Amino acid sequence: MFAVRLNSKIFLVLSVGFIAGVLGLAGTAQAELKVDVTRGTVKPLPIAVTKFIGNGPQEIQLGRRISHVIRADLARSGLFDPIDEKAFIEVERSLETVPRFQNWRILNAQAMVQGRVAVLSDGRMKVQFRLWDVFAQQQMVGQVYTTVTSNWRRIAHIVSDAIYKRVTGEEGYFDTRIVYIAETGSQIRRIKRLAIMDQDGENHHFLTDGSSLVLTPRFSPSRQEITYMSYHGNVPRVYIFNIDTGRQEVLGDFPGMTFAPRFSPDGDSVIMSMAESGNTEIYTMDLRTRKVRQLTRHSAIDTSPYFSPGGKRVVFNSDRSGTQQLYIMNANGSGVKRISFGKGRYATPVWSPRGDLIAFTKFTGGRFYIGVMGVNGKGERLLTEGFLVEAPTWAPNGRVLMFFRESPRGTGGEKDSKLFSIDLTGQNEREIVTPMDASDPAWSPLIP
Amino acid sequence: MSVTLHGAVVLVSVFGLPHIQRDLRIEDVPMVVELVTISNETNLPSQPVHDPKHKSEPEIQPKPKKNASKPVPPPTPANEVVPPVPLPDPEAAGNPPPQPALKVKSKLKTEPKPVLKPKVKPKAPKRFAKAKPTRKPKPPDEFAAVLKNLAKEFTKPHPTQSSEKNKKAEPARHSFEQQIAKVLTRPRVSDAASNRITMTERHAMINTIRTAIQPCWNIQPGAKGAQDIVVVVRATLSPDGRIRRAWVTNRSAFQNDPFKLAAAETAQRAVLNQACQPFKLDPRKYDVWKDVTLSFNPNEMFGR
Repeated sequence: MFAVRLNSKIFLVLSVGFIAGVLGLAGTAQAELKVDVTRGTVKPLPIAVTKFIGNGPQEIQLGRRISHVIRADLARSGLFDPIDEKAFIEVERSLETVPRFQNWRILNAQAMVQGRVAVLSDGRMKVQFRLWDVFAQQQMVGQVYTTVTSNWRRIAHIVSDAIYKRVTGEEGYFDTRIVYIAETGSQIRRIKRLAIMDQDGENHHFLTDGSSLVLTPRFSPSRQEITYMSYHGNVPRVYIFNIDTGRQEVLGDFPGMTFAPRFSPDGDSVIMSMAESGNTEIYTMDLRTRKVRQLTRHSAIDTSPYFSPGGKRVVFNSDRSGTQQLYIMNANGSGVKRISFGKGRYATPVWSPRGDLIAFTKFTGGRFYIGVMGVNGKGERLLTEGFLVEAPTWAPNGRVLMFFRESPRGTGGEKDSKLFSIDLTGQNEREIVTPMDASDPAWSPLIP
Repeated sequence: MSVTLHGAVVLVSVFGLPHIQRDLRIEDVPMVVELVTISNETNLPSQPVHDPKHKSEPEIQPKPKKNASKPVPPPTPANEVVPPVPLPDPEAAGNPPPQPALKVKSKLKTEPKPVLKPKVKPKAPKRFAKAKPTRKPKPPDEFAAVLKNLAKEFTKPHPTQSSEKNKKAEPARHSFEQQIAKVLTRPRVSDAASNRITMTERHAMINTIRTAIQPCWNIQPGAKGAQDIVVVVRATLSPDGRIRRAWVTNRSAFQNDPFKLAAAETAQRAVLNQACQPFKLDPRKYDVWKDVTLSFNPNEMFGR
C-alpha cells in the first residue's frame, strides 16, 4: 500500500514537475521583451582620424598629410563625419597598444583610425593603420603598405578605401581618377582639352594641348585607357589614349557622324552611335578586328548606348515612341524594351557598375535633372537639377555619381561649367574644384 | 482478510487516481489562463508592493527573491550597488556597470529563508480553493521544496491505520495537494515581474526602447539590398537603463558578406551607443526589461 501510495505520489509529483517545466518555458519565452526597430537615421558616422605618428620631421609631415587626405576623403563621401582634431582628448599613441576607448566614446566617435609612417633605409616608406570600432572595442581592419614616399597621396586614398569598405561593406572609390574636358576661352572660341586628375581634384594635368576639339572621354573598365572623340579637320574620329604610355591611336574612321563611344565591360570592344544617311543607329566595334556590327535598325534616332556590367544588355535612348525615352535591349540588338515612361525627355543613360540602377539625364519643365531608376524602369528618383546638368558617370562602387552643371554667369551669355558629385540619396552634393571650367567627366575604375 | 485488504488497496488506488487526474486538469487550465492572467496579475503586484497588508503579498514577495534574479530591489539598491562596481567588466561591450549582478547574489543568499516559510505555512484548504482561480506558473525550486516535504512526510509514521486517523490523514493529503497546487499556481520567480505588467505597460517599454534607439541607428542609404537585411541584436541592460552588453545573434550569417556584416555592425552600434541611453524604464520592472531582443529591419524606411 505504501508502495502504491508512494508511486502514485511520485507519479503525481513528476507530472507536476513536467508541467511546471513546460509552463516555465512558456513563461520565459513570453517574458522576453522583443523590440522591432524599423526606422533609423541617415547621418554620417562620427569617426576620429588621428595624425599618423612617426619619428623625425619627414615621417611626421607625411603622417599629417596622409591623415588629412583620409579625413577629406571620408568627409566628402557623406557617410563619415570626421571629428575635429582639436576635440581629441587622446593624442598620438603607440600603434601597439589598445586605445583608451572611453576617451573616444566621450567624443561620440563610433570609429577611430590611428596609423604610423616609417621611412625605411632604402628611402621607401611603410604606412600602417588600424581602424577601431569604439563601441565594440574591437579592431575592424589593420593594414600595412610599403611604397615610395611620393606615393603618399595614393596610399592615403587606399587607406580611405579600406576604411570605407570595412564600415560600409562596399568597395571604396577614393583611389580613382577623373578624366574630363577642361574648357577655356569665350563661348565662341572655346578651347577644350582632355584633362585628368584624382577624384578629389588633386594631381591635375592635361592630356591634350587644345589644338583640336575633344569630346566625350570614357574610361576603359579594364585598362588604363580612355576613348574620346576629336575633330581632326572637321572629321570626327574616335581615339584611344593610353594613360600609362601617353600613346594615342585612332580607333577608326567612320562613314558618318560618330557619337559617344563607350567601352564594353571587358574592354575589348566599344559601342557607339553613328549617323548615316540621316539615320542614327547603334553599333559595336571589336577593338582587335575592327569589325563593326549594327545593333539597331529603326527609322528613329537611337543613341547613347551603354553596356550593362555583365555586357549582356545595352541601355540607350531613342525617340521611336515620339519622345526621347530609355530602352534596353540584348547585346545582339534583340529584345528592345522601353523602360522610361515619365514626362519629359530622357537621355544619356548610364548603367550602374553594381547593375541595379540606371542613371540618366531628364529634361522637363524647362529644367534638367540627374536621376536614377531601376533596371526595369521603376523607382525613378531625381537627385539634382539645374539650368543644365549633364553627363552622369558612376563611381566604381555605384553609390556616387559625378556630372557637370552649367549655369549662366551674368547677362552676357557667359556660363560657368563645373563638376559635381552626388550620392544616391541626393543629399550629399559636392563640387569638384578644377582649375578652369569643366565638363563631360568620366570616372575611372579603381586604379590597379 | 486478504480480500478486504486487496479491496482496500483497490479503493485507495481508485481514490488516488482521480485526485491525480483532477490535479492534472487543474494544471492544464492554468496553462491556458496563464497567458491571459499575465496582464491581470500585472496590475496586482504594483499594488501589493505598496500595501503590504494583503495576505497574498507575503507569498509573492518571497518568490521573486528565490531566483535571486533582479526584480525586487529596484532603483535604490541599484544606486547603492553602483559604487562597488569595480567588478570584472563585461567582456564584449565594455559598457557600463555590472552592478546588479553583485546585488542579486547577495540577496540570493539571504532570501532563501522566506521562500521556504510560505511553503511550510500551508494554510491548506482555503488557500487551495483561492489558488485555483489565480492559476499561475510554478517555480521549479519550489517544486524541489515540495519534494523535500514529501520525503519528510514519508519518513514519518503513516497515519492510515484507523478510520479516525484516516480523517486526520485527509487534511495531510490536502496539504500535500495544496502544496502541489501552490507550486502550480505560484508565479515563476523570473516571470514575477512580467506577470505583473499589463500589455499596455509592456508595449510602453518596447516603445521606450525603440524610440530611444532609432536616432542612433545609422542606416546606410543607397547601399544595394540594404532594405532586405534584418539584424537581430540581443542585449543585457543594467538596472540604470543602460546597455551592459549587446551582440548580434545571427552574426555568423553575415560573416562572409562584407556588406551584411557592415549592416549588422550598424545595428550593434545603435544598441551600444550611450548617446541614446539610459532608457527611461521603470526600475521596479527591471526583471522584465533586463534582457531585450532587438530586431533591426529597415524595410519601412524604404517604403516597403
